[in-house]
Amino acid sequence: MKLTIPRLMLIALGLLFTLVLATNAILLYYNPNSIQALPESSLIDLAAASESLSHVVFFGAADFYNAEEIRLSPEVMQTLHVDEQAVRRYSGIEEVIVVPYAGGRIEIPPHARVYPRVAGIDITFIPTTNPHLQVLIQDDSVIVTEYVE
Amino acid sequence: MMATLFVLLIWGLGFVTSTALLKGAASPVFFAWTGFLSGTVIWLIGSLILVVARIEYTPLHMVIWSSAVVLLAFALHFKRNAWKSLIAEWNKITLVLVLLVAVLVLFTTLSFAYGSFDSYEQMLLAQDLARNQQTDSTIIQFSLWGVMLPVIHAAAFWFGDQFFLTLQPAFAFSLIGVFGYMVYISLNGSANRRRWLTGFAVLLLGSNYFILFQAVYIHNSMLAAAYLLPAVTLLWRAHVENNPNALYAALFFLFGFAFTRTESVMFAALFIIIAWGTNQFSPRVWQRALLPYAILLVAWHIWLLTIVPAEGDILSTNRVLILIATVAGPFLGSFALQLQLRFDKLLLSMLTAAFVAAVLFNPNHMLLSTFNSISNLLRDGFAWWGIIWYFALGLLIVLRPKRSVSFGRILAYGIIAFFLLTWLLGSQRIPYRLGWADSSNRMFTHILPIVLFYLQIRFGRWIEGKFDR
Repeated sequence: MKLTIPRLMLIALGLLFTLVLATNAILLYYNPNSIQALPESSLIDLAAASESLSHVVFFGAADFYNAEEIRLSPEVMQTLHVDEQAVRRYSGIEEVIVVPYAGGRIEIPPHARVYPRVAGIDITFIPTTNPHLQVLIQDDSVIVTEYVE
Repeated sequence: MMATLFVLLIWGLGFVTSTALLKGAASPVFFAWTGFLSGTVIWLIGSLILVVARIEYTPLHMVIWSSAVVLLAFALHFKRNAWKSLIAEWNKITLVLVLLVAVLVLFTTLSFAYGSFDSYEQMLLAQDLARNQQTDSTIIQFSLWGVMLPVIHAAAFWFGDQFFLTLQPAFAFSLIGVFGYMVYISLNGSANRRRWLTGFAVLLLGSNYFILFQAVYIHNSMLAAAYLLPAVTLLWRAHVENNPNALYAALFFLFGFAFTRTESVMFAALFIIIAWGTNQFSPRVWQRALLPYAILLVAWHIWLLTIVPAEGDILSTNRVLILIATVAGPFLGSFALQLQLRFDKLLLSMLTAAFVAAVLFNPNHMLLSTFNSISNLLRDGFAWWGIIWYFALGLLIVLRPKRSVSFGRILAYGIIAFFLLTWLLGSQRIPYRLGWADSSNRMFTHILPIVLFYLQIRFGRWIEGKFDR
């Protein structure tokens, strides 16, 4: 078989195609954001967990959220509650310490994602994968710092 | 179990209706692949009539609506003898149905689903819809999302579920199936070669991590992609085959696409106007195709006007007015088709000029936004896109711009316009950002199947030209 330019191009495309498939396979296997198998009850619990609260703070995988999306609105500065049960269930965070915080600087973590009010509930989402976090709460703020023993 | 049955019922509703209503647009096998998409549109229309008319959204009302549609569809079947073609292709239709059931059972068994807070908000809206508890704060959600996702998930609550685990996989199934089918019937050459090329194309799209992720991620990108592909490929084939029926069917899927995201109607208008550039169909044909599309969508957006806040976060009064113009514009503009202008080139020039103007007026914002968007595809997006966009660029370079595909401009210009409009929309919001969840990044899911479809057809023609001589 004679190696003509079209044939060489076809071989090159074939190699590129194989490379794409190999990359796809590797991503599916190793990607930290791999498809997650969540039990169907997840959203049921998620909704149920928020029923009695006016503002819910959840934690989740940092990989899916970008720190650049900061949407702080005036609504942020109202009473915040951390839903400990939900934090434990959905974040994999082992130690959730919710303590009243008095004094010092009050801040919302800069990578928090603040959602518009839904069904009367404010939602703040704090991306994290850190399993040791200390959540400090004051009337109008939430501070998340790394928990140091 | 109910989640699977629900999808199958919707599929049946869509298949029976579309094969009767859109007869002559494509083969019954195409309508088997798109049955779930068509059924969802029928279901959505019924649901929105209830919502707008303030009639309770209950299983009984939806059963009455669906039954009425099915009866009408049966009447049409007998009147137009449409059922004969179904019998002729029963084995392929059954195969599609078996594959659909297999996919649904697989995803249900593995309990694959991914939800973010966007998903959570839409599920809350679905919950309120199903419980008929539309308050002002929930009804306003209609101005934030394409309504299709929450409306169809709402039915889950009637069966005691919070959402249907099967919906995203069913949309992904339709997308991949339509992609494979359209590639296969659009290629030339021997059946064996077409099978191989189709197989390669399906593997390319179906193994992509981000596509697979969105097959389980409860959000609207997969829905939008699933509707845009049949719409655009039918639009193209309508021109290739000079088949007005395919044009009507394309508008039907564009209608579904319009409800997947708030800004979808703008992208739909792009493809319509670009298709005008071919001057293939008379203004009368276009008007017949566009009239129901325009009337229904204008009505929907006028209702939206009554609920959106004047300065809403995503939709405001002014923005809804723009969307109304975008929906009505193609119908009114079709009267100018007699001028035989190159509407495609005009549109591309206007989009390019608008983009350049946006960059000049707000350079920091626009450059950051566009750079992030491109970076998500070519640099930072490796973890979710892989190298698929490099592959597409490589193929494009190898094939070089050459008019090897009849009416290929509809696809090529459409793809370019899609990118331009996406980046232009960045001027009206916070800049696009780096990360998989960025809006523009997820919107590229809509265009990737069309890019691969176009390239695969070009590739098929290239092989013919180089090796069949």
